[in-house]
Amino acid sequence: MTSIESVYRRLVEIAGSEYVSNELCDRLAYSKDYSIEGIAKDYTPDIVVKPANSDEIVEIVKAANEFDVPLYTWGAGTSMSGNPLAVRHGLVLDMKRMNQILEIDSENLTMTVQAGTVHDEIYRTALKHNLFFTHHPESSISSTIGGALSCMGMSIYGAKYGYAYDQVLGVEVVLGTGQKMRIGGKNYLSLPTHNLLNLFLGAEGTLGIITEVTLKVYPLPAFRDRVSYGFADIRTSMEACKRIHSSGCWPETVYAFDRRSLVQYMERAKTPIPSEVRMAVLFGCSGDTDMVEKSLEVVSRCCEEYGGSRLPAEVTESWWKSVNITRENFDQSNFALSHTAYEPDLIDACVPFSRFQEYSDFCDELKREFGWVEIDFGAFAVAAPRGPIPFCIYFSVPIDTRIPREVNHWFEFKERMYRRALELGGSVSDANGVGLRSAPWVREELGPAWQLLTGIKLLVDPKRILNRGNRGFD
Amino acid sequence: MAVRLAKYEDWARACMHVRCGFCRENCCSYRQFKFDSYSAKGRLTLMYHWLKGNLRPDSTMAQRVFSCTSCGLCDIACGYPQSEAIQEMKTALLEANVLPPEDYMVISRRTRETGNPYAEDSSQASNLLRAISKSGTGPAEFTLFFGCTELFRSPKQLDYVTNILRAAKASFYVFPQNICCGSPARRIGDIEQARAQAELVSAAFESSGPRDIVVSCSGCYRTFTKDYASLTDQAPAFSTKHTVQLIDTLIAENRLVLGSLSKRITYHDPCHLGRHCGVYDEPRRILKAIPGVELVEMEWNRKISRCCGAGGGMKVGRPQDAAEIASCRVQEAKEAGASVLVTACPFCVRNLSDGARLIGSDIEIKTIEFLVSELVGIAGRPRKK
Repeated sequence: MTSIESVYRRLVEIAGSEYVSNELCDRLAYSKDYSIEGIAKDYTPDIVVKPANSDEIVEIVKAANEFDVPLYTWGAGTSMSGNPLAVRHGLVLDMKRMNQILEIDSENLTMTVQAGTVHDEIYRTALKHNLFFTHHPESSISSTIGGALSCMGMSIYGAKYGYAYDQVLGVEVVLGTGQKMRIGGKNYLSLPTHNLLNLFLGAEGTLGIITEVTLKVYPLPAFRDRVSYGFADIRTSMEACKRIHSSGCWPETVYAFDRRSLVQYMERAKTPIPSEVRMAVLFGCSGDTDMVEKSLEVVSRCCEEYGGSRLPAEVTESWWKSVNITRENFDQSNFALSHTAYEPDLIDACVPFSRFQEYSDFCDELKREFGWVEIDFGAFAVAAPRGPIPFCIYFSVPIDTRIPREVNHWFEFKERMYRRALELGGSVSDANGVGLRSAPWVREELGPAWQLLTGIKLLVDPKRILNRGNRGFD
Repeated sequence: MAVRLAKYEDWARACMHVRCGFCRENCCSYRQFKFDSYSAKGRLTLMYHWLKGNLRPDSTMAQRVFSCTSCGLCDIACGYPQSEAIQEMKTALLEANVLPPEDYMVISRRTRETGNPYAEDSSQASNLLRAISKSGTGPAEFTLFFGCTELFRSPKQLDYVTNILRAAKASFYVFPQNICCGSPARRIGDIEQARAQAELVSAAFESSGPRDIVVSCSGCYRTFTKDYASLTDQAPAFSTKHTVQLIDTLIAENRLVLGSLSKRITYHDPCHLGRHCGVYDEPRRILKAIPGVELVEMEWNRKISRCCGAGGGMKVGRPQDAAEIASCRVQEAKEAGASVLVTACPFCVRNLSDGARLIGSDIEIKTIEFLVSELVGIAGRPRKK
């Protein structure tokens, strides 16, 4: 009997036959995420298992260790970096059955949920208790909180509230050894010593499987409004954002898109964009009406000081609807409107704030060289966390994956973009996950710290069963 | 297979790539059967690998594909007609002789052999229909067409509908035969039998002359209005209304006066009537027109209404699963605070009732025609099957 057959039998004992499958048609559904990496090679797992609770996960991890079968944790598969892919096949651990809201503590502003809970469910449940859960990605109808915490995860309210992992007070985690532990708690300062939470947040399941999480929630703002401004280039738009910061104004949403990205996001609503706009920024504020109105007035003044022109209200509303995906408007999502002639992927390498324009110009130049100029995919700069200045920039690139040469071009393009970022003093970014996409540059960038990281990995996952072959780990 | 599905290949690839999953969490089939392969994007992934030759269709794949209830909620999320592609997958699988579980095929076989999916005696149904006396003295305003579920499983529905129309003094003619509209066969991919039924119905209508048809089954309504043009390769020579549209008009014209009812009621949009045909407002206007009724909405309503779980052959093919899915919808109605769950399809009523029994719910479940019939003051005449 092979190790896969042996582990399959054990998994059926642990989770029940209804929740374990080695059928190809089930496995194929877990062979691809939202990345070109996932289409370039075969990452079909041997087995899919859907556990009910963390005790089952403990047993599954022990079984994976015993039979030396790698294990890949899977949320909703909406990741854009290949991070949940079964690089060495083995097991996919589908977390979506663990979708219970365990506690809402309105008095202490916390919620405790299982890791497979979908964002929209958390958001809705908080609302019912007059609370606001702030992590709200475009995929919130389908993506899980465990996935967001594992891949960093930013969202529309990040300028005020931060990334997904800024919302965490405590986690329950199962290490690669099968040991289960809880780190942090319900208090806003639950870490008596080193911040061990950060070992597991943004780690894409390489050091442990997040099974449960205690989140921050906030008092619900009464009102929300927004405005958007067009600029001649990235540089002036960023200057305007710095001015907004110095004004003392604190928007919750600051999304900066270049013209191409904006056109792409207006595609479903077909909203026209003024021709002179090269860069645009969406600002959103929440709170009492007078505070919101005053904030947007200050935002507008600051933008106009830097030559910004106010975009028509219909652009602002279309933009907001295209990124604020809820149960009411998920049929308006641009995310769902996939393209049949090409697939987008991302360059997730950030450069210093002062080099945004230069890096973006380089990206445009390189796209021209590769012949990718006809399709509207461009630059995104997002403010998160804590303040209206977008410190994170990334680029969307359309690839026609029907042409094998184009897939190879993607890997060449990516190499040149990441190299350029490092030359500019930049870094691999995990704004949209690291996974397979950005892993080739991680080791080089970390230098001696890579040894520290692999030492930690060996301590918590000595047989390297968690995400084997992904994120630079052998 | 290649010809039938080739046009979806680019969609399937794009769907497999983007993997937004907006179609997944609300897909009743995924919620019931757990793995991603049971969602629309899962099925499109299977289609892609089938077209690419990476996956040979077999009974395991057929289980995933045929478990789609054709509710179309995935289409709303996606922007692409995912449910249409899945429908075509069902037909392509049948053409490749890869069959769904036997219980699904019963629908097709019975329709083929007996003319209706319940394998009941059509002549008895015809007797039932002919026993309904014509209403009014002038020429008929329209023709009532009753479907197989009403005739063989919910015959009181005939009384509810006719009582309402008599109260409004509407003159109508009752189509005197049972001919299956073809919807059940169509939903499980048996396009050949669906075409045969469509030809039969169209020919019968043509020979007897009715032009304005009224139906109270949402499955018949969708099939007549959305499918017949492609099934018969020409636009139907008749128009179709659902009874909710007719009752709504009768109320607006003051031809119907409704008694009062002090109850909190919620409305379940049948997928065939709501999402597929856009009929959302008429049933709600009817309920609001009843003095004393408080209409409350379930969290998932109108275009994002969740499926009751009966469609696509699920009610016959996997009855326990269909009832379990329905029980979730009943639970949603309870959470909305309703004591009555009303819908506009006899097939939904049957499944929702089974779902309520499964969880011991005491919520009243009825067709909107039943509810209105009680309020126009004419008692329904009980019929025995």
